[in-house]
Amino acid sequence: MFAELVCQSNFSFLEGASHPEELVSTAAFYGYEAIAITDECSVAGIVRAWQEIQSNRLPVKLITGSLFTFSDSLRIVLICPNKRAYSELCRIITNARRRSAKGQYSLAEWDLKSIRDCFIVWLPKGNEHDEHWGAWLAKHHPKRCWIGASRLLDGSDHETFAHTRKLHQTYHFPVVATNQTLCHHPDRQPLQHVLHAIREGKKISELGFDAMKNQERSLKPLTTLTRLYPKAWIDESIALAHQCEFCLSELKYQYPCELVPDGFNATTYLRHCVEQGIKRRFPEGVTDSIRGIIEKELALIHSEGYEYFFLTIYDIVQFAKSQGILYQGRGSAANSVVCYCLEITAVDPRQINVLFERFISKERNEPPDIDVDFEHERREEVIQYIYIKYGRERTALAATVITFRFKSAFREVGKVLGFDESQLGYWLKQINLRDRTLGWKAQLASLGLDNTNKNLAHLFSITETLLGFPRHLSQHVGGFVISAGPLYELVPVENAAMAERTVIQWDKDDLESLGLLKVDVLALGMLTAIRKIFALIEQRYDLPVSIPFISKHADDKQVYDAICNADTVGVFQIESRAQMSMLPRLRPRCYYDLVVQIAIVRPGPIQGDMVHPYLLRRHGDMPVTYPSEEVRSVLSRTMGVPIFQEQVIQLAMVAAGFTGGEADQLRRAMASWKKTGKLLQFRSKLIDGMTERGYKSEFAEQLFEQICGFGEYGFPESHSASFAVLAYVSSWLKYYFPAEFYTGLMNSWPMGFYSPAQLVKDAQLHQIRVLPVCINHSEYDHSLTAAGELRLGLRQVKGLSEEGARGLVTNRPPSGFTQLSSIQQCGLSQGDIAALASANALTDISAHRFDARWKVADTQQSLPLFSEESSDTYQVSAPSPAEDMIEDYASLALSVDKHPIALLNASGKLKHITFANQLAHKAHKTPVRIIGNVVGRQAPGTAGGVTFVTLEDHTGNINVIVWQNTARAQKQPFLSATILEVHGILERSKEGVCHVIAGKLINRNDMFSSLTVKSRDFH
Amino acid sequence: MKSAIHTLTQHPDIYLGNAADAAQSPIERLPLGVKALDTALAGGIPSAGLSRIRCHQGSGEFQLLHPVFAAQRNTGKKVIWLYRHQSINPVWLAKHKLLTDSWLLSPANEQDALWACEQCIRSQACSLIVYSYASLNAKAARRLQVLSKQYQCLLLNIDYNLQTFMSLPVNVDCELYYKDTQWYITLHRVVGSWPKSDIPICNPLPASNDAIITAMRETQSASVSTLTGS
Amino acid sequence: MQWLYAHFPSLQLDHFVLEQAEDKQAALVVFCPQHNEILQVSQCASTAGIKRGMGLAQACALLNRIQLIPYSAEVECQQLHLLANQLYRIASDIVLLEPQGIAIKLDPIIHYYHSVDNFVALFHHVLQSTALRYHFASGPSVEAAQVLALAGADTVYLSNAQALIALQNVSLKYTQFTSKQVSQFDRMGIRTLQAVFQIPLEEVGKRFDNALISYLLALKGNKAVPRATFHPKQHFRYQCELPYELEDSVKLLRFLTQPVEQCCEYLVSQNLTTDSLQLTLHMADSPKQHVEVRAGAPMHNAKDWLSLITLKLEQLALTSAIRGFQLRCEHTVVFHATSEHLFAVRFNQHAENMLMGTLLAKLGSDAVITPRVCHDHRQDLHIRHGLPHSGAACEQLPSGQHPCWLLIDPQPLSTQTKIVYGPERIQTGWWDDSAVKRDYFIALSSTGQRLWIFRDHQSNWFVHGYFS
Repeated sequence: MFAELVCQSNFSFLEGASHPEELVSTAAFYGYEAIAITDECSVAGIVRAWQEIQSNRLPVKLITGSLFTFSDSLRIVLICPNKRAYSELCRIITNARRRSAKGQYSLAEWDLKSIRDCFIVWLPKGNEHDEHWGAWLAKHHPKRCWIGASRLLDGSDHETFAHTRKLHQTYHFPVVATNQTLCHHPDRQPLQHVLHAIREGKKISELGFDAMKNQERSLKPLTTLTRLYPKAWIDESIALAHQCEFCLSELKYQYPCELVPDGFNATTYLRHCVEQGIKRRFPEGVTDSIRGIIEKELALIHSEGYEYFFLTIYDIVQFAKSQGILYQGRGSAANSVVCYCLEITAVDPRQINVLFERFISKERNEPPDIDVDFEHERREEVIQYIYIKYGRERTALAATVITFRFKSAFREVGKVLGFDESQLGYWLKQINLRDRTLGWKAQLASLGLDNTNKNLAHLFSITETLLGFPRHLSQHVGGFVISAGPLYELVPVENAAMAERTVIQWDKDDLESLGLLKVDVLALGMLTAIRKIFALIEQRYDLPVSIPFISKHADDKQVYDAICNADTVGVFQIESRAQMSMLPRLRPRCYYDLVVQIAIVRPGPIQGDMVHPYLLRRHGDMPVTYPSEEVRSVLSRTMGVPIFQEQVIQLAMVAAGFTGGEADQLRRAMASWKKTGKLLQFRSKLIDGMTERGYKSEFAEQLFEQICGFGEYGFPESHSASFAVLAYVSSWLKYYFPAEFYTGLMNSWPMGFYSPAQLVKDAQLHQIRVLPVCINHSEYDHSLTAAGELRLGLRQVKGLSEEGARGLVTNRPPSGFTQLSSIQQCGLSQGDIAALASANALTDISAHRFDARWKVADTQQSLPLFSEESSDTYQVSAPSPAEDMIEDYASLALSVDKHPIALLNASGKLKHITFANQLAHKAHKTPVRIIGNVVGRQAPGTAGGVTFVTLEDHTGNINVIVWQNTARAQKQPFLSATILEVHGILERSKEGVCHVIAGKLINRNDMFSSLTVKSRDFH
Repeated sequence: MKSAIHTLTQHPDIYLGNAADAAQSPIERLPLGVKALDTALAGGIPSAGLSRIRCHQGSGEFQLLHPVFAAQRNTGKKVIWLYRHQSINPVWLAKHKLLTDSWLLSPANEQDALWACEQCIRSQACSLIVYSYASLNAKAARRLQVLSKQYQCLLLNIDYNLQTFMSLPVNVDCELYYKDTQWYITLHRVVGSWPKSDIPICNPLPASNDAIITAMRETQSASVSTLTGS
Repeated sequence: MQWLYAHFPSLQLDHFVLEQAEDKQAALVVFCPQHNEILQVSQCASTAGIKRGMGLAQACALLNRIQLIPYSAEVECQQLHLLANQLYRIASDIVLLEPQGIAIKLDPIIHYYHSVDNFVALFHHVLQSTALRYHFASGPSVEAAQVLALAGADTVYLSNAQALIALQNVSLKYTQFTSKQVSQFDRMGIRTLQAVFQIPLEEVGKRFDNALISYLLALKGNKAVPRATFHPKQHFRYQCELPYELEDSVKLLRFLTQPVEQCCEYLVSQNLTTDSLQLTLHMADSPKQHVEVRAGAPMHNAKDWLSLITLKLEQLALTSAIRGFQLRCEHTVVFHATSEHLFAVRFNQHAENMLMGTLLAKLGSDAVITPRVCHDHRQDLHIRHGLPHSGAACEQLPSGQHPCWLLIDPQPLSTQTKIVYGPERIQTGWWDDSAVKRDYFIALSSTGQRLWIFRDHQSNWFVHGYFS
């Protein structure tokens, strides 16, 4: 038997060459007694190792520890025998990390002196420093110190053995054999060399003597170890391992206790808050059924001990309400009556017949997951509130592990192997990752790279293994960990890249496997827009509109009519091109239809082709059948078609006989499918499970395809339900208050799918007059005039600084600017005024924009000495309409009154062209000629190579479908045209959705040489 | 004035006629650090002139001559290594801090080797020449001995071919050999002292596994104690 | 006053096609590595729709088997110098405008060639022989001609007035205005030179800097900007045809003494010195033989050079009789007299250089090695392959035991030996084709010799060195 006490996983970034899982499974395979995962000043990899041992019940004990180097003369490993030692280790790591910038650490001698419980394995350097440190360790930690001796066959073994024997005799520290492991298998040496070279920023051939000389620093079978090391040293390692009993499961989570006011305990206080909530949410009193549900929920919360979790979120939500920050709770636990009463969510349970049974399910022992979205401009206030309330010691953000994705791995490995960078960049551009048929290696081979070349073979194999390796820790988007005592007792905390943000060393999966709770504080652009729209409505109509107010007027017929004929530009979640073409087919009529609509147009259902059957069943063209009774209970709400992630997981449990734990692993594998590809192992298990139970095999195949499709965008029903609320609210606002809707939306840009130019076009189609930017009338933000016209704000001018614009608005004389010099005295920079001139905002002062720009350029004018004599002898010629329109697009990225196609049409250059609004009158399958600005190109992976191009002409948008070979044959117009003419066949589905199948593509850029239209390509 | 002339008299191109012998009283010698050997060599190897060592390749002869090499470090002059088909290991030179001063010559034939040796001596740019190209014949040896003495340069001939033995007119002519686990040196000819044979010397190995073997054997017996002890 | 300007838009690309490209019709593209932007496009690539200024990704998407050449200004400058040398033969006043333009002053040449057309015809003939794509134009000043050439006028205007008229409707992007100035003009609706010329100068002065004003004046031809003309580099060249064919190379020395002395006088007169002379022997019936005589340090006295040349000639094998020779001295460096004391270190330094020079000349450069530690665990790598400068010299030393004698090629172990030290495992080099997996030991032979032996992965044993 043997215990490896010094072993670094790949969480010692760019040094360790194996995953923690691989290390512990190999140690178990070799029959080790124990293995310690000791990354450098980090315990980030410990939980994954522990999870691997738990899930596969490996016969090896995991020891927690960490490696430190101190002023490069001392190298020690701290091992945790018990819980106190573990807290001590976390404290040392936290202090060391917090003293230095992200990614580094600096140890202080005081830290080492303050060790009371940790065991110390000293790795002597073999030079003169060892006497000093030997004496120091003997003085401070005589009984808890070991010497780690290793035989690495690198030519210094005989000196090491002699030196160790001398130290042992002088300081009486017992000697332990160790391999200072970096790889779980000798073949990982090339990968370790690559990581080392990436860290040094050199080529491998330049590493020279620093590179690992041989493959000895890897896990070895017991027979080799007994040959290499004296038996006593091996036995000593086992003796030390026996003294370590600490296991990660001992870590429990104490909740912040100050949430509960005195005189209450957690449960009573929660009930008290719920009662108050009921008065507010159900003024007319609660029906018995709902009261029953509330009692059931409260009982379950009590039995699982999650009161503090709900109270923490309740406290945060109350703060947001007091500050007037709009928020929205979502997640499986969010859809419960208790949350509705605690005002965490706005989903009225009566509407969605309470998806309670998935609220907290005992047998899946999954911690409740509640995410709270806040306005993206005011989320920072909430975060600072949490930090101030609980103190920096007791709260921190969860980490996310940034891993090597394909592009970064391929480029780094190539650079280190000596390939030329532009060559690598060129190859990378040739690989289409979304092409599921041809792997990246095959695609490269088809490029004519001969894979007999050894260097290329190395590049391919090492890149393959490097995928999924952690690169560095960064902060989770919003996951907070809050604890009663100081957090570093539980897990080390280190600095994040952002100033005064702190991050724990574990990510959300680690927290989940240890059953620790995290609160997600996320940002949502739509909430900012909705709040601004509410403010505008309040200001103009003095009507107190709010989300509950709107959700009370649920299922408004006119709003749903607008949604059904796809008039949803700017509406939350259902504004994308794919949604617009699906809305007329699905024709959502009630809230739950919206929930389905949001979830159905996603890679999951599309790939599992569940969309078509759902359509047929919805229109009654196909009978609603269920393969079995259990399936009916799961899929009753979606007419027997699995659409949501929960449904698929429940099907796995019900139909394929997965246990709760396996279902949980399936859910976790689905989330990280892109990174680790673990999903494939479940394929056979799922399909066999279902065929045994009498289900048709191709139904199982379909189900599995859908699971792969879900991948990272798996869409749980609870999230879709919360989003549906916002979708309904935004479409309601668009229908009843269009002017405020567009103004609010454009003021919170950048967000959503459409650019301001397209929003303005859509507003004009809804008969809203849009006034251009004007120096005397525009505010900084877009504003509404009394007559309901939309006045573009100064924020739209490209090149105008914010403080310049705000300065202009504040000291604008009541009568407005009449003289150029008065503008220049407002402290605007030369660039700002030039930007205003080009945006035609100075119409009150100069004849036209060229003249304005000409006057602004005159620097002498602004010098006090020359200010009187303004003898402008030279006049610049006025711009033609085409030049005017080009200047509009160049300075504002939109043109209020002119459109390129309208201009072309007016100048008679367009012969027998059909415009967007005329398409509806054309018969199905007629050949048409259309022209427009290219505003979007999309080639979703699920569309099998088809590209959707959106052309915009002065009457509306046209969707063009370009098959793969049409695109390949006419690459030049397809890729580089901004104005594109298409000859193709019109295709109209029976619900009236029009598409044009592209035949001939003609590049019409030459009509406007310098028109700059931004296109949203391949997102 | 006197010192200027003195440096002038040192200059090799100046021929002092018969006054030369008087000026050159005792032969300057480099000790090897082995007491028995140094006494036999009357103080060490003369620092100018030709000396020869005969032994099997790899008998620790360079280890024995280490003090001589160390002396060349601060002369600022070159150390020339003349050899035939093997090569001097740059890492060994670096470890003995001779790398920057050394030039390695591997001429095509023996005639070129002797020519190169002579050029190096005449150029006075070299302080030590290690000639292990081949055995020297008497005529070449005498010519090199006179030249190296005149130009104050040390020439060491390391001769690995032990078959033929003929004495050479050199300062020191010795032989290193190994007989039943003990190393001996025989001095066939020493300038200013009598020849002596079979001087036993200790010739340590560059490195050995002893430390590892003792550690493996020793803890075998003591392993029982440590288990109970901690 | 008249200037003829030639502009070479794709100098580097054309040269690459001429010199190195195997397949002349390949789709070649020169791109700027910093901005990933296409600069020069070959014929076949432009037919596929790739244009100047396009992004690399877009170009790759349009044509996926294009060959990329990173743009380098030095290559273009070298080409320009070569071109100038060729044109120097037919014209005197040449001005180089790095990196892609050459201007020739026509006035002095007209009376020499009696008319502009004769010279222009000769000019085209020289440029056609270089197979480089170019545009040309003439104009009152270098700047005017340059703008017209860039705009692709390709005509020689007989009078300045004609050139000025042609200049009017040239777009601003062909001028030397900075991009900022061009965009500023553009935003005021001014897009051609004619519009710029109409603006009174003091208005322009109010809005732009005076560099622009002086450029405008130069364009109109009123003010000539002084330009440095081109002169080829100096180097010594001596050509001699022997009176009779020589069989023995040593006899050549007699004919070489006089040119070597002449060369040294030239060096001394120019206060230059050199460390290498190039001797090209024209043989009777075999191709020319090039002999380079290198010295340890730059020298300029004839006696030293002659002694080195004799040594070099001694071991020179002649392919056939020598009919003539050419002595060239190209790499010259300025000589600054060293002022040290006669007998001190300088003496030693000089002696060292002389010794190195003689050894190199006699034994050949592969027999004289200045040893360096190669920065790689596989020490024998650079000795066996003789890679002179493979690894960077390093002060760091490898761990482990290293013998003083190394066998160039390890020999199979034949004698009976006893292992005293080891193993020391070297297992690396997977990235190049000399991967190594060896366990090194020190072993004693019966005669006490300490051998450096290793066992390779097929576990057969080799001797690699001796611990002397």
